[in-house]
Amino acid sequence: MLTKLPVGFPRRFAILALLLVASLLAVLFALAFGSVTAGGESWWSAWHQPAHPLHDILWRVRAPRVGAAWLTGALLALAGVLMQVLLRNPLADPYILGASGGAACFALVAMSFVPALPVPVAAFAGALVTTVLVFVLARGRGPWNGTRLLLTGVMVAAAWGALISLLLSLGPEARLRGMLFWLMGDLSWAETAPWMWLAFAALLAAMTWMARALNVMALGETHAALLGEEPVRLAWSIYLAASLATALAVTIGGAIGFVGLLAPHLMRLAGGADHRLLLPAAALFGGLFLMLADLAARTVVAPRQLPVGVVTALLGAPLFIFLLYRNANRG
Amino acid sequence: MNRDKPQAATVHHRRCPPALAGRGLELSRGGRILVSGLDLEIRAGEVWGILGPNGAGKTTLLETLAGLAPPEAGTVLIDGEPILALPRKTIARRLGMLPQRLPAAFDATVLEAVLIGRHPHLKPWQMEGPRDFALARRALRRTGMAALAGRPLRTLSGGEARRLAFAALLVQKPRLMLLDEPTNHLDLPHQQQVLECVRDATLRGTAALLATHDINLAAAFCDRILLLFGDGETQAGTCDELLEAARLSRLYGCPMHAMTLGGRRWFMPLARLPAPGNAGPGAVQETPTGAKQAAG
Repeated sequence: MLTKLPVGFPRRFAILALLLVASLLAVLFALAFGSVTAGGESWWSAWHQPAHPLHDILWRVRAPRVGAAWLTGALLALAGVLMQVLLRNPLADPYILGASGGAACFALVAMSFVPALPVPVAAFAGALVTTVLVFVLARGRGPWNGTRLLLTGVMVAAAWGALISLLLSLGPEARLRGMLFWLMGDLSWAETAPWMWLAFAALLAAMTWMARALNVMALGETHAALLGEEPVRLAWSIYLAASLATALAVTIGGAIGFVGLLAPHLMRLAGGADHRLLLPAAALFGGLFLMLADLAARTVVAPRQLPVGVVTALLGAPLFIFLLYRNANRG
Repeated sequence: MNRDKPQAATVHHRRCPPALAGRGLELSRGGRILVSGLDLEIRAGEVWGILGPNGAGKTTLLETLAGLAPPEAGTVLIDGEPILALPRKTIARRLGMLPQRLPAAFDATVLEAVLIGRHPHLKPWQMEGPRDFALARRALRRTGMAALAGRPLRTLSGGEARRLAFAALLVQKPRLMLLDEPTNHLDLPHQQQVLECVRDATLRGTAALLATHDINLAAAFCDRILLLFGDGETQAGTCDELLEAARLSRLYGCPMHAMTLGGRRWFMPLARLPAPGNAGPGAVQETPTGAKQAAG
C-alpha cells in the first residue's frame, strides 16, 4: 500500500501520520488488554476516577509498562539506524559493539552478588563502560577506521559473552531465572524516569536535525569529507549518540533483540533511506512494534508472562526473512 | 590544440592567488616516493590533465589536493589558504571531486542522490528548496540522466552511476573540479557529454584537473599537462611542450607513436598485441601497419 503513494514530501508525511495514528491506537490497545480485561467504558471511568478499582492497574501497572515498552523500542530503533550508518552495514544492530554485553555483565553481577545495587543502574554503568572502552581501543592514533571500530566492538562483545556464561554458571541457582529473563529482554519490572524520555527526545531531535549529514555519512567517510563534513568528528558523535540510546534501552528492558534491526529496515523499505524521514519513522515504528510485542508477551500465555525478547525474535525473524525473500524476488 | 578554443578568462586572474596550488609536494605510497618537490599552480578557467602509468600517484595527488590526506612534505593552498587549516565545509563549497570508486549507498532514487551535491551549501536542518531541485534536474538533463530521475540507484549500470556521480558534482557547483578518470565506464557520446559539461564550467571560471589514461583526450581537451613518472619525477607544461612520442614512451615504459590526423596529433602504443584467434604464446603480431603509415 505504501509503495503506491507518491514519492516525496506528501509520502513522507503520510508515513509519519500513519505511524502516529497506529501508535496512538496501539497505546489504547496495550492499555486495555492484559491479564485483567474490561470494557472500554470501565477503562474510560478508570482513566479519570481515582476511586475506580481499575484506576491503579491502569496508572500504576499498565501505563508505566506500556510507556517503557514504547520508549525502549524507539531507543533501539534509533540506535539501530545510527549503527547502520556508522558501520555502513545494514546488518549492524545496537548491540553489535558490545553495549548489551557490558550492560548484561554488570546487571548479572548486581543480581547475583551485589543486591544493594539496582539492576538498571548496573546495566547503564555496564553499557557506558563498554562505550568508553570500545571508543578508546578503536580510536588508536590514525584517522577514523570503521573496520577497526567494528572488530574492536565485536571482540569486546565476545569477551562480555564469555563473562556472562561464567556468571550464569557460577551465580546463585535461585537467581538463574531472573538472569535469563534479563538476558532475553524483559519488561516485567521495567520503569522509566522523566530524564530518560528527555534524553531520548534530545537524541532524536539532535540526530534528525543533522539528518542530511547522516545521509552523506552513509556514502562513506571520503564522500562525507568531500561534501563538507568532518568525518571523524561526525562518526564519533554518531557513535556516542547510538551508544547512549542503546545504554538507555538496555537499562529499561534488558537485551531485547531484533527491534534495532527490524525497525530501520522496514522503514527503509517503506520510505527510503533519507534519514530525515528514517530516524523519526524508525523510532515511531520501533516503539509501536515493541509495545505490541510486549502486549503479546503478557497476554498470550496469561497469567504467566513471556520475556518480550522471545516475542520480538519470534515475530521479527520470520518477518525479516519474508522481507528479504520478497526483495530478492523484486530484484 | 588550443587554437579553436575560446581563451578562458585566466588573464584577469593572474594577480589573484591561484585557485589551487601545491608547494614542494612530496607524496608516497607504501614507502615508495611517487612525487617529490612538485610545485603546481592551477588558475581559474584552466584545465589540467594528469598522465602517468598505473600506480604513479595520480589518485594520491588528487586526494592530497582535495585535502583528504596530508602530503609527506609541502602544502596545498586553495585560493592562497592552506587547505588543511580550512574546515571541510569551506573546502566543499569551493572544491569538488569525482572519485574513481563510487560508494555503494543505501537505496535512494537518482534525484535524491544528485541532490546530495547541495549538502555543503545548505544548513544542517535545511530542506532542499526549488532552486536546489532545479539545479539537480538541470544537471541530470546535461548528463543525459533526466529520464532516470525516479529510478532506484541499485538499478543503474556502471556508466549511469558514473554520470550520476558527475551530475552530483555539477550540482555542488565547485570552482575547482578534481576528476579521477571522469570518462571511465562511459561510451563515447557520454564521454563527450561529460567533457562538454566540464568545458562549460571552465568557461565560467572553474578550474578542472583530470587524471586520465587517455592521452588523446588530454591532448584535445587540456590546457596544461602534468606528467607523473611514479619515481618522484614530474613534468608540467602545455600539451605542445610535453606531448611527444619519446617522452610518452618513457612515461609509460612502452614505445608510443605519434601521428597527425585531421590537424591534430594522436598518440598510440606500438605494443605487440596478441592477434585474435592466435592464442598461443608465440603467436603475436605487429599492430596494424596502417597506423604506422599514417604516422610516418
